[in-house]
Amino acid sequence: MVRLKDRYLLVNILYSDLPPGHPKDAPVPDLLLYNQPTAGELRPQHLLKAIRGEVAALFGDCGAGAVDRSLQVKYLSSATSTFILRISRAHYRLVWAALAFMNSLPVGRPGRPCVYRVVRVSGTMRKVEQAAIQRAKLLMLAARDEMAGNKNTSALDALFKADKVETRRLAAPTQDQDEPDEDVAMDED
Amino acid sequence: MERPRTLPSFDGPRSVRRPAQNASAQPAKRSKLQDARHIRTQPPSAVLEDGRLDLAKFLDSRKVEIDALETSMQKCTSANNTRAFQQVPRAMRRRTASHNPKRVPRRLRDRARHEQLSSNAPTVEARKRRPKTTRAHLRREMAKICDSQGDSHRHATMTESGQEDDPNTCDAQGEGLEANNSVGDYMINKMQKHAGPRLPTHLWHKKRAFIPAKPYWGFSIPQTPTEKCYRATHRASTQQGAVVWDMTYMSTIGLEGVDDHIKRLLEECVPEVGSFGQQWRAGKRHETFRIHKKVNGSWRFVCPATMIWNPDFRRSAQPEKPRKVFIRIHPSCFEEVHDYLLAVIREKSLPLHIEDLRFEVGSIELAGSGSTEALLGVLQPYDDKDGTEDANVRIFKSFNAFTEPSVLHTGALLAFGIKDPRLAYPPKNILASKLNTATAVMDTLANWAVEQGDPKPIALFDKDCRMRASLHPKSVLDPRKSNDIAGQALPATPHDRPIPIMLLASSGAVTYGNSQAMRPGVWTLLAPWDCVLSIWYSLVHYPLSGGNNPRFGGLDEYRQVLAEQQSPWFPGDFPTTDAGWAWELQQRQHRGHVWSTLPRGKRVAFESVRLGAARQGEEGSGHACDWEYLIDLQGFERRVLPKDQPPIDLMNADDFNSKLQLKIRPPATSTIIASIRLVGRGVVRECARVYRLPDSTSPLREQWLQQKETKKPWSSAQKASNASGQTRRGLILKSLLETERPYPKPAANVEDIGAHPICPNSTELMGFVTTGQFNLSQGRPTAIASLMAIKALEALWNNPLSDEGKYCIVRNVGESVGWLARWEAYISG
Repeated sequence: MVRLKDRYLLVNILYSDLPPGHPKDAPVPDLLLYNQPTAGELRPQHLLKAIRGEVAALFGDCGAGAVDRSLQVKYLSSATSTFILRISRAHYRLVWAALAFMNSLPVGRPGRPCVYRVVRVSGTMRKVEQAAIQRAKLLMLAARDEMAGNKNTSALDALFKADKVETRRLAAPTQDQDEPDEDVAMDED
Repeated sequence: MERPRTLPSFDGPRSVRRPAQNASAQPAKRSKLQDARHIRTQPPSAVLEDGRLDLAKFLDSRKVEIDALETSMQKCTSANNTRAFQQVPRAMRRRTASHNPKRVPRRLRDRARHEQLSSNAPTVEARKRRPKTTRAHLRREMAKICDSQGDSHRHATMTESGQEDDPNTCDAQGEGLEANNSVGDYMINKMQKHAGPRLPTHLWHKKRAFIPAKPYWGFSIPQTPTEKCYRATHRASTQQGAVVWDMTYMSTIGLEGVDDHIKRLLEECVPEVGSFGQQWRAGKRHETFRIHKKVNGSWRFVCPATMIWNPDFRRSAQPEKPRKVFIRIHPSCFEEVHDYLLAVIREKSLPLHIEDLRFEVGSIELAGSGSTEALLGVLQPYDDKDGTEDANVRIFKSFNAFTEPSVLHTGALLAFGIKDPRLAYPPKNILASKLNTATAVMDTLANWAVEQGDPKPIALFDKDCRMRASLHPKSVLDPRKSNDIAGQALPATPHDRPIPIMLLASSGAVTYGNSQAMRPGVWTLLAPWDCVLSIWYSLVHYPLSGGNNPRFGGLDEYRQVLAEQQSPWFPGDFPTTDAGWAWELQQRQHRGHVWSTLPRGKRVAFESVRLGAARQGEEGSGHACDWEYLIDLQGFERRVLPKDQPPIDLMNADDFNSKLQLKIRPPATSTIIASIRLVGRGVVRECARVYRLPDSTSPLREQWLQQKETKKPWSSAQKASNASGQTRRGLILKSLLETERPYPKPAANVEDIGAHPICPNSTELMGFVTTGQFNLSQGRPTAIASLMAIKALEALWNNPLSDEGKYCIVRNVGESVGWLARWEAYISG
């Protein structure tokens, strides 16, 4: 039996404005601004519905049919605005494109404007989880630096550098035979 | 949106639990698996403080996320890596469980089926496989033709026999299947891996136990079960359950002759034959004694033996009628005993007939509190009527499940015929039926009806009865079963001959020094060779009332059970006999071989073993109980002996005691068997060296004796706890002033051997350990050793008042550190 191969996407939700309940005058460090939690009503079903709708809008019936069967939300954390999608390997780019075209949360009328940023693509769930953990650790370090009053947050630098390194890696494809597509790190920027 | 039609997916969504895709799968069990994949998340309100963004909360939320992801990863690894059949306890695992889901317990079958499909395991069932190529098809057709041709040769025809037979005698003229017990049948194929003749249960054991390729004493005997069962065997044999061994390898010699001549033969073998009682001679009990050889006018111990006479009720009419006797001995000394008996017969020209019944009489041994229950459940007397005349059957049926063999009198013997156990297979638990009360059992034990009146002859002694007891093949029994009512035992027809069996109860009392310990006894079941397997199947499938079935054991487990009772095992613990010496030589070779296969970095370098006090090198050969070395040490000239004759002799317990009291020096090569119990730490193994305590001139003696207990400096104050406060204070002050400085006293030999007392000199070497282990019954390490009689006696003479002569130091071979222990001379049991 042929192995069914998938791609796992690690996606961050980014907001450019302050959350609705936040007082306007208080200063907010950048770190917190760009890593806000999401409103509690967001459920995986909402996400799925939105993505499917977007794929259908962009790619029509053919695209919708290809993506529909294997799309799943494996993890959704509203507190950290992170979610992990699973999609079959052949059609992950459709979903990625759909995410690029989505500009608001699927909940609320209207939904809060946001950006869906794909941070990691991988062939195994484990690697995606590890990437999420790594990012969370770097953010924690940055937060600690921030709390200590150190403005030059090296952790955030590290985070961005890590992203850049991965972009460079993409340019030179790996020679890995076993699982060539396993750890393809991509960055949207 | 329709449900995707996929196989039930294990990759369920992580943050939300979805109902199982496959409705037939048990949702409760699935959710356990899905739990592993569920990653905990926090609600967003935990990150906001009063609607504000907060750094501290941000930090916390990331930490929680990391924890949750890591936990989920860990759980998934373990959940993904195990297959259904790996969740099954080792005892229930079957080899083909990976591609045959039926071999897995029912609760795991769905999962096993799914795993089989998703992995690369073959899903074709062998018997349902349809040939796909022409060649395969033709082969199948040919195989069918050959099979059908073979069938016509197989079934024997049965003739009717009209007579009702007494199952315990063989005067009947019933027809049975011919048995062919010639030895040649058991050496089926010279190319077989196991060169020795096989036990009747060989195939059964082969699937469950390790059977060494080199036969022990001419037989392929299972060494140990494949699964780890050290503690399970201990529990089953001492607490709850039962252990069974196939002991068909024990040799049986049959003697036939007139009473008087047999007695004269025995006088040449057994020094104390006159002391055995009338009941034994009448065939109502069995006795175990030691066979000796007369060598140059003195007795030399050969082996322990069990002897059973055939009671012959016609004896009172014809006292000169020849009777039969069984002598059961260990196979390691079969040839020796057989040749010696023949030699005596010829020398004294006794008109006795001696027979080799090794492949005619088989046996099974059972130990443990469930053994009686198993026997009651499996052995159905052929003569089943309630008012039966056979006292043996009445006694057997009056047992209840708690009648242990140790409760019966010594040498208890029961002999009767049983039905084929396969007729009532699978065996049912007897406690479901009525149990006999304890008082009824007491009555039976007190009266023991067999010994009253004339007992009947035992059918097992008769060759005809043994031959006729051979059983129907399965192909004859199966149609009868399918025609009969399900769940009921098959009724015995006249074609089903009774199987003659004998049950011997051994009390297992072991005597050491001044103490005698009652151990749980052992049942020995003797049966014709061909019938052992069907009895075995019923025994190991019998459902004990405490749960489980009787465990089976190999040679190692037998030795373990004996060692826990501190009973010496023949031949290993008797190096003074030819058989024991042969065992020791074989073990030396085995240990040397194993040692040589190890790389130099991983094996013990005996020449550099440090014994403390600048002594280096192991005493004697590191692979052996080096008796030759010990004899040389004493300065005694070693006699030039043939290679297979042991250099040491066994001294009797009585002899030892008399020499102890009269202070006579024994010959230098005499040894005694002793049981050793360690006082504190340590475990001793085979070949360990046993030393006496050094004499009082050496400070080493005190160091060793201090290993016993340490006395606290103000224990006198503790004893005076009832005294007034002032007295106590005075005592404490006194003890403080009187303790030696420096306190605590630095241990001796700190640099030498790590603060442990060093081993005594070679002059104190007493003997070697032949069996040693941690004794789960005693809760401390114990061992059985052979000690030089002269050294042991000297130790006792030098300490007439205290018991310090009974202390010894045991050091494993290849190690530097010795352990304090007590030894006791073994007397009997």
